[in-house]
Amino acid sequence: MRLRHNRRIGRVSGEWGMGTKGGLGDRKKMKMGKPVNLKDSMSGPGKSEKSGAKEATVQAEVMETRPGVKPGAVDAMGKPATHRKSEVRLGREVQARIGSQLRAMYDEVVKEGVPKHISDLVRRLSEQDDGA
Amino acid sequence: MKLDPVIRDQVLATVPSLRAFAISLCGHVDRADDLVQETLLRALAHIDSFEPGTNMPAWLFTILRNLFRSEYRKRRREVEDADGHYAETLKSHPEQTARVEFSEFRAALSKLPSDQREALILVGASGFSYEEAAAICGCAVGTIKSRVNRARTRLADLLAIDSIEDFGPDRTTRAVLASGGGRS
Repeated sequence: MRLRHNRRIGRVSGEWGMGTKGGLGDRKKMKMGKPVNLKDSMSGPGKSEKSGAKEATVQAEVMETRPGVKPGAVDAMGKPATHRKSEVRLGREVQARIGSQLRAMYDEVVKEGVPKHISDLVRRLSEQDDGA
Repeated sequence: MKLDPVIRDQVLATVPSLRAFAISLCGHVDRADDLVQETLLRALAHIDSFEPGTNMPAWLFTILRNLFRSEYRKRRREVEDADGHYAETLKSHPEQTARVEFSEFRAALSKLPSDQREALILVGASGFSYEEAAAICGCAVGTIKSRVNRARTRLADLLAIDSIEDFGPDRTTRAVLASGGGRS
């Protein structure tokens, strides 16, 4: 069980340590003044394996318990997913439905045709000579 | 020089669609009609610059859009229609009172940034291709695609649509179905 946790932390710290805002790497950077790989720090002095594991697990749980985000999900860039899929890409049916509402709304105005004052204006202008 | 009747009819045929686009940009029917009128005055004054056989709607839409950008954008606070005035104006037409189901959609549309709204209307309602819409807006095709995509996503967000089930049937029908009041 402990081994499994360590593997997971190593992978997570590798991704977050590359500068992802709010990630574990940033937090450690603030504390110690330089970038630290969690995997290395855990085996070094001053940081027990147990507390490091706990910290990373809590962070991982925060990511995993966001509504709609599947545990372990990654986005198109291979980064941990923080948004529901529907927020990134809409389904075809939803897009089609938005399109039909949009056209219905637009067609309401189109059906009104050409207002008389506008058709009068166009006819008047089209009858005018350049010098008029 | 009198205007060629063919050109005149092309202009008149474009007016309804031009007006719908103007309303979607302005948010106010009266102001949209002023914008259409200004567009037509300008277009007919420079009709020589239109090449017969080319795309009349795209030409007029470009003039209207540029006029809107240059003269009306300064009134953006009013245009944003935070109070849903656009929706109210349209609803006030007697023949449209039955279209209450669109009011939420109109209100959501009015909250989109204007560049996203115009891209969505041009491609999704006016029937222009991405290329034509890009030419009208004076930007890259990819930019139009991106704006349309963001507009759709934002609309779905504003309307709280997570799936197609959230979209229809309309609320009245859903309420009847939920209460078991439907007859077979």
